Amino acid sequence: MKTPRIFVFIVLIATSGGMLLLLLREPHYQGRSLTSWLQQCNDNTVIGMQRVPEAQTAVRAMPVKKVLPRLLKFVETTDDPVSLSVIDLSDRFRIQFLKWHTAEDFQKLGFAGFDALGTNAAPAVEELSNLLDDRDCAFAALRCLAAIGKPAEASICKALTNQDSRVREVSISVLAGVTDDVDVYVNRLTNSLNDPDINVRLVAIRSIALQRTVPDSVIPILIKELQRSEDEAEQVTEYLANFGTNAAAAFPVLSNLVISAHSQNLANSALRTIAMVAPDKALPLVLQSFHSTIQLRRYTAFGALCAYSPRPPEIEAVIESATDDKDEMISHRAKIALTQEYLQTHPIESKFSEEPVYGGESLGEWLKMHDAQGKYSKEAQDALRAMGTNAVPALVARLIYVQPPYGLPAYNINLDAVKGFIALGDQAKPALPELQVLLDGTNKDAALFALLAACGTGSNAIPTLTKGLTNQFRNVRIQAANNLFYTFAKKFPDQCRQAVPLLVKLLNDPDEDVRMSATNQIKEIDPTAAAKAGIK
Amino acid sequence: MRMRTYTRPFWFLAALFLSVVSANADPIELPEKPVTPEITFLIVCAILLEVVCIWLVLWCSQKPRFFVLWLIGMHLLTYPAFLGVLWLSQNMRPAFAVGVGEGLVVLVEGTLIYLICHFIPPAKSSLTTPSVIKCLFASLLGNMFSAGVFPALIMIYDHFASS
Repeated sequence: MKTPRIFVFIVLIATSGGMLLLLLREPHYQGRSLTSWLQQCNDNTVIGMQRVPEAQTAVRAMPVKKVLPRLLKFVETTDDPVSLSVIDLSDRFRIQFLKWHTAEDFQKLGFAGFDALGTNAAPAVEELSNLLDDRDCAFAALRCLAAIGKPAEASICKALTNQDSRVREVSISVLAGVTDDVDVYVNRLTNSLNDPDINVRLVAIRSIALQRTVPDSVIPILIKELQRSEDEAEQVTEYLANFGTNAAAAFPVLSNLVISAHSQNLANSALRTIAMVAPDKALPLVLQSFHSTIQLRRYTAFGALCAYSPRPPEIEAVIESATDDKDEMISHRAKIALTQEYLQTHPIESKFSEEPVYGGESLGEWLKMHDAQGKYSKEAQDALRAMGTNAVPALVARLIYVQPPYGLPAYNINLDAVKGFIALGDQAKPALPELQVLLDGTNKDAALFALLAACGTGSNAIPTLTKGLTNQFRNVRIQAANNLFYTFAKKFPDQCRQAVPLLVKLLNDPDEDVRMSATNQIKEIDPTAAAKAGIK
Repeated sequence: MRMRTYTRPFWFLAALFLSVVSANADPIELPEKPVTPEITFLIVCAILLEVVCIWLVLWCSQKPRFFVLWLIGMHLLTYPAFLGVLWLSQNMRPAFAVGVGEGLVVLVEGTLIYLICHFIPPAKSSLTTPSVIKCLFASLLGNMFSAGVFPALIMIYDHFASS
């Protein structure tokens, strides 16, 4: 009796082992299993991504008939309670040497495989299409169908009516990649516009609105959507604006929204759009809206007026009169609009035609030859130095330059002048008295730029910077403290130490940022004085 | 030296445009609950329950002296081997890997129990030696029981740990 029992025992073990081997069998390439190659395909690290093409080639090199069933198994994987408990327990007991994979991880491996195979995986379309009905793996199946591409077109169309709203939503975007004819694509999405899920509807509207090559098909749909509900209409108005005057047919609906929409945001959005799709017809309504008592409506209307190109005389008149508007925002925007218009006929550089020239290039051209960090090339630096003191008056003129006709700041020009002064170095010394006057003036921008421009003169700048510590403008005080004790203290410690009492005074400055700057600098330059002032 | 002269004036420009210094916050270490006592409790209880279960199944069979200690000692071999199988099966679904691991443990433990009962001198020679099938059955029952009570053991530990 003993021999048959042992025989049964051996058969039992052999059968178990055989079944296990059958279950684990998978195609191999260059000694590595399909799973191993798929993990390489799925590596999102920077180094790993460089090895993805190699892994994809390996997946393609394996027999498709053997690979597809395995990939489908991965895509079909769903989370079961036991697996989730095992993962949970491993996490709970911090068993870090066990790296379990969730169902989603396996689905990603499947997707990586289909992504590598592309249209070669077409034989799997039917089975993937069936998986769309399984709530747990429908989303993964859709991604795989998208990876297969054109052969999966019919299945992706089927996904537009999937029970899972997330699948319906994604299938809209995926379908765009597999549909050749734009009109066909738009027609396919018309049913999704009535989807019960708002996100699906919004994606459908956006996807249709993106098809600008077929305005005749798209615009009637968007106009219809505009009338459907105010919740989605604001977005639709913006899409219509992208069609410009091609969407002129939307004028009646848009003008109605401007007048009667319950939502102010929608009314304003419609106002912006109406000026873009039917500028001439919209003008009376835009002008009327500019005189609205609602501030935001006025801003929108004014923005729309400024965007008119070319601007008819009546708009020009409104913008000019708006420069004196009691609303500062409106008056400032009006000045900007008119300044931009002015610049079109009066280029900035024409204001500096008298500047010195070196090597055939004007000072203005040399000043532009700096990199993104504001650093000049050796050639530009040499050119600016060669111009030397001759460049000083022109640089001062640029430093205080404001934009005509309304005197708006011209920061680019001003900062170029600052950089020019710094490049001149000691040669900028003759400008110091003039810079000091600017520093003491009432223009805060000019004062700040004058302080910065003085820094290029090395130790000569220290008196100017020291004076800057007591300047009326906070930005000037902060920059004076920072530059004096950050840039100059290491080179000229004795001269800078004389300014420490003034720095101590800044510890009681009314402005918090100035106090903070002074605190930081005093700790660096003079720890003893800092300790005396109670700074830890 | 020449280069330094060129770059010197740009220090303050850097200070102007990069005046906001990034904050390097110290990472906060969150105290973690030690898991060693819990793991020890769970493994010891699960092994003891399995041993008791096997001992009861083989109650009427020939067993060596200190059989319980032999069974406990057997787990010094099979438990690390079980973890090794899990490690090798990480690319499978966790449920499948645990199932395979447990299945192998049942086979190996059943075989070891059979060998222990047959080759170690018995305490009472009047009893019959257990068959392979009976040893496998005892191993299966023991492992199923210990795996089945594992969630209950966790709840018991949580109950005492929280009180």
